Order: sequence, then structure tokens, then C-alpha cells
Amino acid sequence: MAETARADAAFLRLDGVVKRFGGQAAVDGLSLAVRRGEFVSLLGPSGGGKTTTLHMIAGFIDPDAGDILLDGASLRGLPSHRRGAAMVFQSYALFPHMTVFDNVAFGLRMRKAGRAEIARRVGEALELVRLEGLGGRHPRELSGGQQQRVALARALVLEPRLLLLDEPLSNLDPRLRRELRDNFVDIHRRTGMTTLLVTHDLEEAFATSDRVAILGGGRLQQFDTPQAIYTRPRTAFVADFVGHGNVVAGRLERHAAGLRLRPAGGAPVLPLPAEAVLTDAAGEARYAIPAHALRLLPAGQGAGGLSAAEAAFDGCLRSLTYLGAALRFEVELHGLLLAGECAAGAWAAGLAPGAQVGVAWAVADMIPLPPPEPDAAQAASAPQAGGARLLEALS
Amino acid sequence: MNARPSRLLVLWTALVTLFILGPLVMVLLVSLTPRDYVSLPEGGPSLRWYAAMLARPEFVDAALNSLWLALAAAGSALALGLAAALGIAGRDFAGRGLLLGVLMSPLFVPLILSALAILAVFSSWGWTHQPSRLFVAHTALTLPYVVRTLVASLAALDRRQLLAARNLGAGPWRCFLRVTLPQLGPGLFAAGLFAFIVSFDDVGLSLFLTGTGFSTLPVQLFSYASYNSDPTIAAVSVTMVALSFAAVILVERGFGLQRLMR
Repeated sequence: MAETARADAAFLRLDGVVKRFGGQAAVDGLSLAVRRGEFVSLLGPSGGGKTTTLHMIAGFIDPDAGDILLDGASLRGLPSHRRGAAMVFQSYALFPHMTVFDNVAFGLRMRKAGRAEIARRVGEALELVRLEGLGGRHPRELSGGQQQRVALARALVLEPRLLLLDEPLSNLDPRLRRELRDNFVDIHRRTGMTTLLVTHDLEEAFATSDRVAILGGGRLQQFDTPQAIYTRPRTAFVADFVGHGNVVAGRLERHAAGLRLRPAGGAPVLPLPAEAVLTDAAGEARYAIPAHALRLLPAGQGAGGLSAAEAAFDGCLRSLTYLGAALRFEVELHGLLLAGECAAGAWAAGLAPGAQVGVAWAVADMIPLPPPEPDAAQAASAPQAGGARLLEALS
Repeated sequence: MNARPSRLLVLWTALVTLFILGPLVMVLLVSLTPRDYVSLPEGGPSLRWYAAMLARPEFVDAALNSLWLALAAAGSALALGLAAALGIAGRDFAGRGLLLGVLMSPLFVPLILSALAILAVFSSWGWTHQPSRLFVAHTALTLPYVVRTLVASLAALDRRQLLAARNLGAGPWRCFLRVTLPQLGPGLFAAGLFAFIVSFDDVGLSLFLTGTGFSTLPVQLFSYASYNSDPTIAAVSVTMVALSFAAVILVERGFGLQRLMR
């Protein structure tokens, strides 16, 4: 995929970037290529090197090693404002003593733009973030969401080549966060501006981004579409971060009909999707069955067990929680507890814990997980393979 | 919020107010006495001690000396203190604590020791020009108040504002002039006011560094009170209180004292 779009793939390129603070590597050999016009998230837990990376791109700090290129040219030594990379901060960092208009006009005034041009472009920027008419207010007179939109307008007004968003939503309440998130996506669609969003919120990254780069321990763990990251995590770090439930571990077995997983204990043998799987040295594999993939059935319908496309089993209902639109349930299959969520159908609502029920899922929905890492040091040295062996299942 | 304050609280507040304002009222009454000694104005108020005060040029001269000295010391302490605070605030470097300690030291070294030391050094240098050596000493004396106030003001600033300004094209100077300085206004004013008051009030240092020919108002009052017991002192005090009140009212009208205190 990188080969087919070589020119575009290089719009923003990080090449083996390293940044150490007091001997500790905050960013440890990070390479990343972002296409022109792409919306990319840097996702990871705090301390993963996300903000440090963004600050290096913005020119607030210099990398100790490696290079950052924008549109083919190195940014090394270029002052922050000449990089064409505009930054929006988590704390908004608005100038409290200036009006909204003066905040947005700040960058233009630094560039010695004319009075009429400033008025026109500030007006356009405020319109873009839907704050027209509030130019005369001071930041303290605005809500948190409005302040963040002023910060966005202040960055957008300079028509940067690159928009850098540093956890811009984490100071806002959840409802506002979703609204502003959609606002970002909308503005990205309208301007086509290459955007880099730093966040620790999986949903935020997935909902906004064309591709997501997961950073952990200063290294790139996986850089892919949200779907690929969710359904095919490449490292144990990514799998942990995505946080899949219903993890089943067991021995991998080959049958004529396809791969099977034999969990420890008395749990039933599960059919597996037919593709390359990751196992650890002992031949153990781990799969996750997403909660939304599980369906609750009347008892008996799940007796069949194994087919290539569908897994269905009978088990014992352990709990049932009514959530309005959905039912959350836990079903036990001989020691294996699966938690699922389904539409609140009338028949299931009458069930009580202890009832015999069936549970089914599409085999293709199962998510192969990389083996857990034996220790962190080894993980850092081989993040892509995750210490795992690749087993070509059907060959 | 609408509950009436308890009687005990009202009584307490009244007592505290009396404790603070009582002496001032007393001084005002004494200054209006028609008699030759410190007493209450029995037999009607008189302004004779105000006239006596104005008839003594040494008080007027000393007051003007004090005013110029306090203005100059506060001004130079502000300039030096602002530079120091900018270097110290929001940064961490080796020797930061030591630097802050040295700048603050006039606060916790006994004034009499500082005064003796400064006098000894200046004398050994042969520096006898009283106004200039007072100016230097008062600058050092008032510097800690300025540094402490400004470091606190700067700590309240979001340093990401400076990153944002840099990102938008402002160099170090324009960052300072257009982002930092405007937000320091109240802090600068408070620091300057502190410095002015400390310098204007100072007896300890000034007593050692003044002499014949140049004196400040507190020193003049101190030595006058040492040898005389007539109510001129009271008249001078009341005049100073009145001028202070006028200054506070002007500041309140101009800037809003409430805003500065925040």
C-alpha cells in the first residue's frame, strides 16, 4: 500500500526520531509516514511519547536523532512558525487578555498582514468554527468548548500545511467532546488539511481518523486503519490497549475442516477463522470474541457446535442486565465465561440467571491476539513481532 | 448566604476594627490639640501643630527625599526583579533554589545586620554620597518583595501560551511584550506598591546611611521624637495617613483595588 502512493505517503515523514529526557528515551526510533490530507491519530497511554512527538513536529523541541520531513523537506533547524504546522493545545493556551478576534488575529499580525485582510480572514476562521459574532468577547466569557474552537480558529486562520491537535478534547465533558470531535472531522473534510491528533481515547481516535498510530514505550506499535487495529492487533501492547474482552487461550489444533482452539479445562473446542495466526513458543494461541458478535439463542439451538462459518454452543446464563436498548449477558460454557450484548428482544428479557441458553457467533468475527509478552524489555526490542512466531495455518 | 451574622462575629469584627483604627483616631485627636504637649484637644481643636509642621523645612525636605527615594528604589527593584523572576519562574535549573534564596535574603537577615554590613562596605569603599548609597541599599531591600510577587504572578501563567505565541510567529521579545507583560500588569503594580511602601517606611537601613544634609521622613520623625515631645509628630502622621488614603482612593478609581488584590 505504501508502494502505490509513494509520493503522498511522504507528505509528513518521521525517520527514526529519537528524543531522550535525562537518559530515558521518550521517543525511541519512531518512523511514520502520513499522506497529504490524511487525518491521523497518535494514540497511546500517557508517557507513550505522543505529545513529545507532536512538540518535535511543531518545533518546540529538537529530536536527538532522526529527521522530520514535511513535503519532502527537512524541518531541522526551522523555527516553529516557519514550519506551517499550527498547534492546538489541550489547555487551549488562549491569550486571556485579548479578545477572541485578537487571539485569532495574533498569527496574522505577527506576519504583518493588512488590516482588511486580517478582518476578512479572522471572520472566515470564526465562521468555520461557528463562532461568528463572538469576536468581541474575552476567552473567560466563553464555555470550554467555545474556547477550544477559538484555539482551533487561531490555528486554522494561518492556513497551515499541517494541523497538530494535542489532546484538544480531554478537558471537556463527554457530550461536548463528541460534538467537537465531529466538528474536527467536518472541518477536516472541508479543508482537506493534513491533521495529526494526539489522544489517549480509543473511541476518539477511531471516530476521527483515517489511520491510527499506536505509540507505546516511545515506539510505534501499529499504524493502520481503525478496523485493522481493532480486528487484527499486531502486538500484545495494542491488544491490551484496545482492551478486548472474552479472551480465550488454548492449544491450536489442525483439523480437516480447519483450525480449532482447545481451551484448557473442560470448555468446548472452538472453530477458528482460517488465516495466519500468532502463537507463542508452546503453540498456545489467544483469541478474543467481541461482545457485540455474541448472540443469545433459546436453548437447544446452539447444540450443533462447530461449523466453518458459525460457532454455536449451549451454556448456562450467569447474569442478565437490562440496559434499555440492549441486554448485557454472561453465558458460561463449561468453565468459559463469555460476556455479550444483544438487542433487548422480548423472549430474552424473561430469562433468569441459571437458565439454559444457546450462544452463537460468526467465526470470522473472532480476533486473533498476539501472545502476551514475557517481559517488557523483550517487548521493547521486538515490537512488531511481539515475540511471536507466525504460523501459516492453511499452507 | 442570607443568614444574619452571629452577634459574636459582629462583636469580634468591631474589636478588630477598633484595634486597627483606634490608634489612628488617637493620633488624629492629639494632632488637633491646642496645648504644648501630647494631649487630647480639650477646649476645642486647633491647627497650630500643622502650621508648626509646615514651618519646619526639614520635614518637608525629608518627605520629598523619601518620596523620590521610594519611587527610584521601587523602579529599579521592579526592573531587576522582573528580569530575575522571568529567569526563575517556571524553570528548573541547578542553583535555582540558591539564587532565589540570595534574592530573598534581605527578608530574613536582621535589618540591623544588613545595615551595619552595608555601611561598613560603603565606608571602606569611601562611598559617602548619601542619596546614591541609600538608593542602592533600598533597591536591595525591596527586591525580595518584587521577586516574590512576580514569581507568583508568572507561575499563574500557562506557559503553553508562550509555545502558542511562538508557533504563531512571535519571537522572544514579542512573546514577552504582547503575551507575558500585559498579563503581569496587576502583579507589577502590586510589586511596585510593596517596594514603594517598604522603602518609604524604612527606618533601619536609612538610619545608618543618612546623615547631616540628607534625611528621609521616617528618620527625621524618629530623631525628632527622640528629642521632642510636642504634637508635631502627630500632625505629620495624620498628614501621611491622609495622603495614603488619597492614594488608595485614586488607585481604586483608576485600576480597581479589588481587581489588583485578586
